[in-house]
Amino acid sequence: MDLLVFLYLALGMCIPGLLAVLSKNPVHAVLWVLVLIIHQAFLLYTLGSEFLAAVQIIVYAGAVLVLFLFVVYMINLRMEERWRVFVKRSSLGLLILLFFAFFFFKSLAFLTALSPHFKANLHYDLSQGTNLWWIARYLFTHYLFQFELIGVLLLVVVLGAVFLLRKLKEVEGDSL
Amino acid sequence: MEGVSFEVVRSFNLSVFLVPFLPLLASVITLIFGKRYLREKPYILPVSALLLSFLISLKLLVDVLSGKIYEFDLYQWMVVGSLKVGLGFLVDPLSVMMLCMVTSLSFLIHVYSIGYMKGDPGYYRFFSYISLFTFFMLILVLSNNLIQLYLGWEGVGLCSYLLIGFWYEKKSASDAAKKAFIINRIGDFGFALGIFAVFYYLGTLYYHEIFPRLPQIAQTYINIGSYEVHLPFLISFLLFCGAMGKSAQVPLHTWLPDAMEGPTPVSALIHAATMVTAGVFMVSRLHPLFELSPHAMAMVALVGLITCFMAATIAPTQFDIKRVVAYSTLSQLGYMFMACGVGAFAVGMFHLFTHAYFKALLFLGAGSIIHALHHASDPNDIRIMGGLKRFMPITFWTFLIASLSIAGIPGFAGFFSKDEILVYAYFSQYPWGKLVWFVGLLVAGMTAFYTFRIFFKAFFGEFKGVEALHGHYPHESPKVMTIPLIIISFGAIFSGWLGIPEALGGGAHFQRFLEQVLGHPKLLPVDHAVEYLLMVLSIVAGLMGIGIAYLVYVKKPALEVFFSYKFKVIYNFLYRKWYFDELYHRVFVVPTLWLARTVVNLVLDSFVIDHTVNGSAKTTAFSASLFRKLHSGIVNYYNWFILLGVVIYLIYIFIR
Amino acid sequence: MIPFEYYVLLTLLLFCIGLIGVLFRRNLIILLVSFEIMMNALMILFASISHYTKDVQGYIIVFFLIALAAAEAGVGLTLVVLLYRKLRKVYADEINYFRG
Repeated sequence: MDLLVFLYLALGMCIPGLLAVLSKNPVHAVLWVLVLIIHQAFLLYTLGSEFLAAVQIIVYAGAVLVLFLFVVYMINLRMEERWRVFVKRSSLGLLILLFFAFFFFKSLAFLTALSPHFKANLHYDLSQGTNLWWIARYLFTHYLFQFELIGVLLLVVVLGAVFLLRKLKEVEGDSL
Repeated sequence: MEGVSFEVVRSFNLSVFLVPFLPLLASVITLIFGKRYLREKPYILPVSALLLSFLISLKLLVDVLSGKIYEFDLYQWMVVGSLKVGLGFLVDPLSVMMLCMVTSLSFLIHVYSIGYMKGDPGYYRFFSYISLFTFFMLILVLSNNLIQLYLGWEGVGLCSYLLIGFWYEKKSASDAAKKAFIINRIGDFGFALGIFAVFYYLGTLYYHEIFPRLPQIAQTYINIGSYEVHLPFLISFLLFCGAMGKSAQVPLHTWLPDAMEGPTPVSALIHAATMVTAGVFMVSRLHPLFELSPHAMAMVALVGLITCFMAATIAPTQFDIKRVVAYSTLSQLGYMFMACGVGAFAVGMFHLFTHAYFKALLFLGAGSIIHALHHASDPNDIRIMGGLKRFMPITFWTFLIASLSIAGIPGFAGFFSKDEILVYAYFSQYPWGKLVWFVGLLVAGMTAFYTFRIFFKAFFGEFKGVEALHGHYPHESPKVMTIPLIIISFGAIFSGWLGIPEALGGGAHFQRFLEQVLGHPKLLPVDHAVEYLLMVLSIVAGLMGIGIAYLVYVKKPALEVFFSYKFKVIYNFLYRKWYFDELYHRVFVVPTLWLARTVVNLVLDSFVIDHTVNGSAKTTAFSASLFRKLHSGIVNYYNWFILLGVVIYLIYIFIR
Repeated sequence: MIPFEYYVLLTLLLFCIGLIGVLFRRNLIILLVSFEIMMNALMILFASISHYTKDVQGYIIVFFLIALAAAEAGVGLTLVVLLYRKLRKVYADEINYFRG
């Protein structure tokens, strides 16, 4: 049963992913990614973290993808259907892709051989608290500084976005 | 430190730290924000910082008087093997005395500069530099190791360079700045070698570790090119090179008179009172090292003696008021080195202390005159002065006090310190003591003569500068300049009273205070009757100098011309400053220029360097024409290159 | 229990799918979308390692990754909008402003 669910979720991620990457229309691409994200949220749930599943839905589906959609609509370029989808002269890129694929499937065996030796650094025990409880506990103690740092990073992004887009309005007409 | 028990404080002390760093803070802030925000009043921060530093120094003085010594490292600057250098502070009688002197004078001169530099386009720059100078000077004085001393040493050199060349649009000023810098480099090279030698042979750079280890090298001789050299002499000589450069002793003295191109407050603070005395301070600080080698002491005494005499002969022939005072500085520095050379370090420091006040006063008085005459094309020329007594009474009286002080008239500061030097020289155990005494006496008379020469020329007779001033008459300087003059003139009188010798019923407190650190000079038994005789002799010499000056420059001005014609050869020799500049020009400058113009220019420049430069340009152009093809400006291709890098790295890992 | 290799395989597959987009698409928005896909692939890897070793670290990294992805999308989209306003172009191979 577990395996069936996993296979469904894996397919539900790979096929929308491919469709998103290959689709001509950016709106479709973003929507396919939405499908991918929702499946991934379920996958995270099966991996034992209901909290991350929720965050995944809220942040990705709720915020990031909506942002993407906004931008796509704002720019409103449907013309891609008439144009090329891919860049020209992509032989080097193809080579790189092939190499990566080859390399990954080579290293698969390596990773799986390594997996029995994995050791837990911050071990957790579900009998003492839920997964969420454990994450919160370490996030607010051990990783507090990094947590704050991420907060600052997001703030910087917000300020940067506002600044960049406002500044442009003032000097409109200049070259880049 | 003999017999006296001090309580050594080894923990961090905020007030010691603040003394140098307040001026630094003020300087940095003024330099950065001065141009924009402090255009009108850039002096606020430096002046208040200096005032605070001065008050803190007084507090430290009280602490040291009550038997405390501060010695601590702020932090370790570098630790390499056994080389340890910290940013450390040492407050003992010697440094606390320098501390009080530097901060008090620096504060007063800052205040003076408010008036003197008013309206200069570089107003804020001036205050920033001079504060920075104070910082480096305090670092130099407070350091507890040689490297930090060197840091301060170079720092004051830098500030001196910046301030001599303060009016950098003037070619003579920027030339003088370069000259000062380059000549100091020569001395500092020796100084650096000396520090290396200290570290190499003693294995440490901290004073309190150096002194106990000195006996190890007391009898060491090393081979240099088949000569046996006494190691303490070698180290002392190298260190003394630095002192010669910084304190402008023969043969590295030529920069100091030229340094008068800078603003007058700078001349007063840097080139009279503080920086140039750093050499004396250093020699006193390291006195156990110098005392190990009689030859080193003889060298110190001899160099001081020559400088002292030479400067005193040049000074009466100069017409630039500041140059005269500069030569008198040279001569007084020679005095201090003479005192060090006979082992009387405490007395040397005493003279340094009193000299700082009366020489600063002389300079500031000269600055006041220059300020009054600044419409003239050359306001420094004493030939356009005269009769200024009527126009500038305060300047007149303060200048008179300074002149009397430097001439050694009893009751004034200069008398006590100069006399102490002569007495100690006379009774010294070193065989050259009597010679030092004789030249010192001679120079005392000459000093009185040339000081009163400018005094009489400037303040007596008729005012001759009406034409140069386009019909204006000079006027007294503003209060902000005269009040510091008055305060310093108190210093020029009373600073000597701290060390009235026993023979005159005083306690010589100043010398006793410093001798806790600097040691007692080796004396023959002192006979008080002889001491009185020596004093009378030096007073007579001073009075004679004044009398001759009065005769020549007030009573019979014709004599001046008569003498300069009668002894034209000698006069010219002195007027051209013993031909030192010409000599250096012939020996160093001309060959260097020849080398530069022929060998370097023809061979190196047009062949090697041109081809290198053009070749590199061509190589760049060629490789650029290859690589620009990769630089397509398209993001995807860049992505590929990034990933290609990853691929190559992965392949490398696999193959390895 | 599903073998650990399956998760690794899924991760690699998704990563390669994202890589296709990054390497070959010319639409800048889809380029960014592909980045997100690659990031998601990494999340699966971390979460699965965490799941198999009973270790919280992996989950926390996933949490940070999500925040990071949001930040990255914000900056990236800002730049895309900026470019579009200036040049009226969103196709990577037409923007060769820095051509050597």
